[in-house]
This record gives sequence, C-alpha cells and structure tokens, in this order.
Amino acid sequence: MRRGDRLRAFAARLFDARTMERVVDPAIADLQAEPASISRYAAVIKLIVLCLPEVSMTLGTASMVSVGVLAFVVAALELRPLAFAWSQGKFEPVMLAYLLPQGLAIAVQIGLAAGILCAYGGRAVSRRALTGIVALSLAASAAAFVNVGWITPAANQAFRERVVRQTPTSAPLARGFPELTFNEVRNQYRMASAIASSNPGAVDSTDLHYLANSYHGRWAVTLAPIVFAMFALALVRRRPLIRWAGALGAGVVYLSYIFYLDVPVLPALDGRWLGGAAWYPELALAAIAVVIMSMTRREAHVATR
Amino acid sequence: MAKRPRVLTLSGKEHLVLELLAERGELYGLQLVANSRRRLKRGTVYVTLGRMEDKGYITSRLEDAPPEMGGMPRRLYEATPLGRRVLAAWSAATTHLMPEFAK
Repeated sequence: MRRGDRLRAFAARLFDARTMERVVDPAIADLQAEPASISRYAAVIKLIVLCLPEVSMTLGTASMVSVGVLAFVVAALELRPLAFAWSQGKFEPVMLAYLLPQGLAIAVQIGLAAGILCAYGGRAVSRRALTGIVALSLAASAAAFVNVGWITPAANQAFRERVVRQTPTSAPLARGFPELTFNEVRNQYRMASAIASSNPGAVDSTDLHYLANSYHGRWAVTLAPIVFAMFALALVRRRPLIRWAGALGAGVVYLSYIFYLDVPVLPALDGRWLGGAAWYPELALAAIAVVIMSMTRREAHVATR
Repeated sequence: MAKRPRVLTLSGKEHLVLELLAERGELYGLQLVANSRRRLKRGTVYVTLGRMEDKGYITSRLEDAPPEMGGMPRRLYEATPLGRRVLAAWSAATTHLMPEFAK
C-alpha cells in the first residue's frame, strides 16, 4: 500500500468524484512525492476536514449529515415535553415514540436543507439532481400533510393521556386544537371565523387566533419542505461561509420561532392576519431565497456579458 | 472547456496563485506553497485551486510521466488567458485606486 492510500480511501467515502479529482487526489499525489512526515499527513487531514463544509459530499455522506441534523432537531424538540413528563413523575420510554411525529414535522425540512447543502454545496445542480430534489421535497411535503393532519394529533393526544390522565379508568382527556385532525380543525376554524365575522364578541380572541394557527400551521408545515429546499438551492452556489452561516442562521431562527410561538403571543403576532404567525418564517425564507437566486442570476449575467 | 465564472472576483489567495503561475508557468500545488513565502498553506491550497478552476482562472492537467516512486500522478496548474486578464485588470485597478498597496 502506498503512502496516503488509506487517507484517500477514507476521503473517497465522504466526497464525490469531482472533489476527489480536484482537491484530494492532488494533495495525496504531492504527499506521495515527498518524504514522509507527520506534518504532511496532518496537512492532508486538515484539507479533508476543511473540505467537509467547503465542497460537495457523496449522497451517502450527505444523507448521514441530514439524518444527524434531523435527529438533533427532534431531540431538541422532545426535550421540553419529556422534561415536563419527568417532573410529573410520569415518564415512560414509549413517550419518545409519541413525540416523534411532532418532532419530525419540524425537523424534516431542516434535515432536507442540510442534506441538499452537503450534497451540492459549491457546485451547479444538474437538471437531473434538481428533479430529484423537487420530487423529494414534494414527497416530504405530502408526508408532512398526513403527519400533521392525522398522525401528530393522535400521538399528541396519546402523550397527553399518559402524562395528564390520573388513572386508566378516569374519563378520556378532552382534545385541544392541536389534537384535532385536519378535517376537524378546518371545520372548527371555518365555523369560528364565520361566527366571529358576524358577531365579533361571540368568540374569544385568543381562542380564535389559537385555532387559526392550528389550522394555518398545518399548511405551513406541509409546505415547509418545499420552501426549505428552495432556500437550500438558493444557497448552494454561494461562498462556503455565506452558505453555512445562512443555513445555520435560518435553522436556529426557525427553531427559536417555533419555541417562541405560544398561545399568549399569537394575537400580537398575527395582528390583522388571522393565522399569519404560522406563515412568517416560511415567507421570510422564501423571500430571502428569491433575493439570493436573483443575485446569483445577476452575477452570472454580469460575468457572461 | 473551463466553465464561465459567475463573477470576476479575486481573493487575496487567488491573486497570489495567479501571480505565481503567471511568473513561473506550470506548477504543482506544493511548489505554489513553497514559493508563496508561507502565505499559502498546504492544507488549504488545493481547495483554492479547485475553486479557481471552477471560475476558469486556472487550468490543470495530470503530469505526463508516471512518477518514479510509483505514487499517484501529480497535478500541474497553469493560469488561463482569462486568469491572466483578471490578474492584469485587478493589478491595474489596485495600482490606480490604492497606489500605496501596489507593488
């Protein structure tokens, strides 16, 4: 085995063929042409580490990063309700499964964006790859619709039953708006909106905003994979620092907003737009994506003139 | 054929690489590092070179003869006509706008 072959084999598992040919192979070839030294090996290892965010990875590695990000976000989202269950002395391992659908509803779009940036960062996305990304985000969107429409409400209710219900024989716990299925929440929202418009004082304002956000939030989560994929595609051709700072910033702001979004703040956030609070992060991301895409297009136009 | 660059920008390191390649012709990555007086690092130079190739400023080829040590073929880098024009324009602009920083 030649010097550096193990390093090369390791790098080949992470990076795509183009990165290997352009970046890693020249470094290994130069390493093999020189006398062996630890500092020369260290330089190649540093190069491989630097390449992780700088260049595109193989789809396998990008998928692993994507799943890692997804798992991290799910864990972050599950922490608060699990801590509550623990504080009540009601924690059971099955609760992890009950909270999973809710976590996935938020985490999938962040993981998808991370995967796109890892797989295509720093290079042009081919038409074939674009078709794959569009298909994947549409599939994630369809899955999110089913998840937030029916699976998450049922899982949430099961979690609440475990935590709040005193004994198995006591009366079933009444479902809140988030525990209603998509059809139920839509019907209630339409009814409440109609009553509120004909008789403004008849429906409690906070309840109306809560209901509106339960309904609009499901549409927002359904469309989120498409918006996040669009945002990631807008970033892939930008410089690594902008790309990763943009992605990290968007993820942190999105998650912080989700944590901040609580019933008491909804009326103020919505303002005159009932249910608007559910849409703000995605509208902001979509607007930023459009601006970045138009900047990229303008730069390309200037460069080819 | 090299791809067209998205925008004709030139970072400090890219400027240095172009200067070295314009002065000395074809060079290996390590020769660039050795001639840069520690301004280029062996751990990062290949990323810079890959990016410059994407921008169309340089071109590369694998060396002709198989290496005597039996290692992988090394990659040689050379400035493209576009790279030379960008370097000239950048240097002229620097001289004009910031003469205190010009050589």
